[in-house]
Amino acid sequence: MKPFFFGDSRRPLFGVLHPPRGSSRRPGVVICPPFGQESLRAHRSLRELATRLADAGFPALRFDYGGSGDSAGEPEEARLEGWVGDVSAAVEEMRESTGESRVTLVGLRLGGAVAALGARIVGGAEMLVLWEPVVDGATHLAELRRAHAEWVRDHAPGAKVAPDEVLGFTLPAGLVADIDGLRLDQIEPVPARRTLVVTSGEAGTRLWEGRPGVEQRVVPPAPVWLHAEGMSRALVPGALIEAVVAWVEGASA
Amino acid sequence: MKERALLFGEEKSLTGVITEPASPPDLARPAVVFLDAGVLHHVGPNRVHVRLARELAREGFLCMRFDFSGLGDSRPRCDAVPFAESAVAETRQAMDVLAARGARSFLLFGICSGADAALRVARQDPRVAGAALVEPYLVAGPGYLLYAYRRQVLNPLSWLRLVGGRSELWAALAARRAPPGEPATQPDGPEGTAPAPATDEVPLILPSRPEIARQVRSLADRGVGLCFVYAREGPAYHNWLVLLRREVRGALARGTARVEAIARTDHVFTPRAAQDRLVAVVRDWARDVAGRRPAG
Repeated sequence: MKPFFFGDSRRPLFGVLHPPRGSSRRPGVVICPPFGQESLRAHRSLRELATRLADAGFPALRFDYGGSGDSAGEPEEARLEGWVGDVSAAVEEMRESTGESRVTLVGLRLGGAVAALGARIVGGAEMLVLWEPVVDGATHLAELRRAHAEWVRDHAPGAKVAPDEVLGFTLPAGLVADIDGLRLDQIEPVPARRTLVVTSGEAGTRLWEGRPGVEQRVVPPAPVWLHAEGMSRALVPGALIEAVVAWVEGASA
Repeated sequence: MKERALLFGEEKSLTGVITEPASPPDLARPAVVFLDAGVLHHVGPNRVHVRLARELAREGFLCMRFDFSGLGDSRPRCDAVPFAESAVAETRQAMDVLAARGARSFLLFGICSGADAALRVARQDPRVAGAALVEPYLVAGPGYLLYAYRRQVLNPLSWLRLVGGRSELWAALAARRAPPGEPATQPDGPEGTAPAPATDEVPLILPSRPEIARQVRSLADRGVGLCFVYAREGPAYHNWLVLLRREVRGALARGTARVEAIARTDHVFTPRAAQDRLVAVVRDWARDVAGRRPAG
């Protein structure tokens, strides 16, 4: 693992590069994290995914969007378009690092949507893996707000809550508007040579169904991304991670 | 303000992020080191480590957050050193990184198990000038259960969760049923420590009540600045009220120790208003400790 900052020096992004085992020339994998509380809970899983990909010979880059994680910027300024630009910077970094123009994008939850949008602006991905992707932004916002309301009720009744916060993180109005208008199923064409939509339950598995190069897979059990019971526990759905690595290996053969 | 990432430690296996003030840091000020909270990585619960590091860098403090081995972005250790020891050694290695940049004294910041580790480091390393201990040890004693559960007992929602099988009590009971072949309790720890209860979590060896009291008192007597921050309605605050407060009475009177209990929040300061307060309290405390330190 090599931690570093990259991109625009006025607004550097934090990334961790997992160099491949051996000297393979396999396409690099850029991993797009979820938003807010989900990004904290998914950190361990994404590290594990990157490690397994690197063990299989794929260089892997994890990174934080501007205004999140260790990256520069203020959370109040977060917009989907900015995050998609950050994906582009991460892809550029990966291409420079590997000398290989082909790149694979993996995105978890809201990061799935960001990866799909990012794949379009980098000229198409070799492979695209959407892990439990947010397909309908309005539904995702409703889920976040419901989880936040339940959390306040159960853990801090009477807490003063600002309208732009959700589960400990700032959700600014601009980002709300962006997510609200997000419909992943309406993206045309699918921005990758091959795509895997992987979920741990039935929801979302019909995304882009029937389109060329798109596969769906269900790998239970479902991890807990938002519930309070998942707090302070590292979430690593091993079977799903193995399935993703195996698919990337198979699809790149 | 500028941030840089680095690998450090004997095996260059630990990941850290240094936050430098925009102008060269005032090296008469202590540098600030942030310790991981539980299994969360170095950005901290709700990213509060990042926010606080940047706030303190604006005040002229050199800061570093990092991951303990095996957590966050740091590789696991290759030896069998227990976490209670490796956490101390690795925090001191982080301090060494900042010492190589000219820092001569340090403030430590830790939430939950990070506070636990900060306390251990502060006892062992004379370079530590202060420690912000946020929601530290929860040492169950007489009266604790009543304190911890009184709100739940009075809350109808708790009963609904219990009946509906969603209560954390069920999970706790399930965890107590250790699978065959696993010990029901953890082995005894180093001298002066008590065995931890069996759970499905990473085993932690907690000091006994007298030991923790002694630890805190010895730091206060040494003049180490102590800043205790609690969730007012949370069970850890009970620990302060019945155990720690009396140990630092003199330091409280002298102003070298302080306590803040933040209302209507949880253990990790999820409401942003609580995060704002936490950041302000620790920033003001750091300023005060830095102001008390002799220059040079």
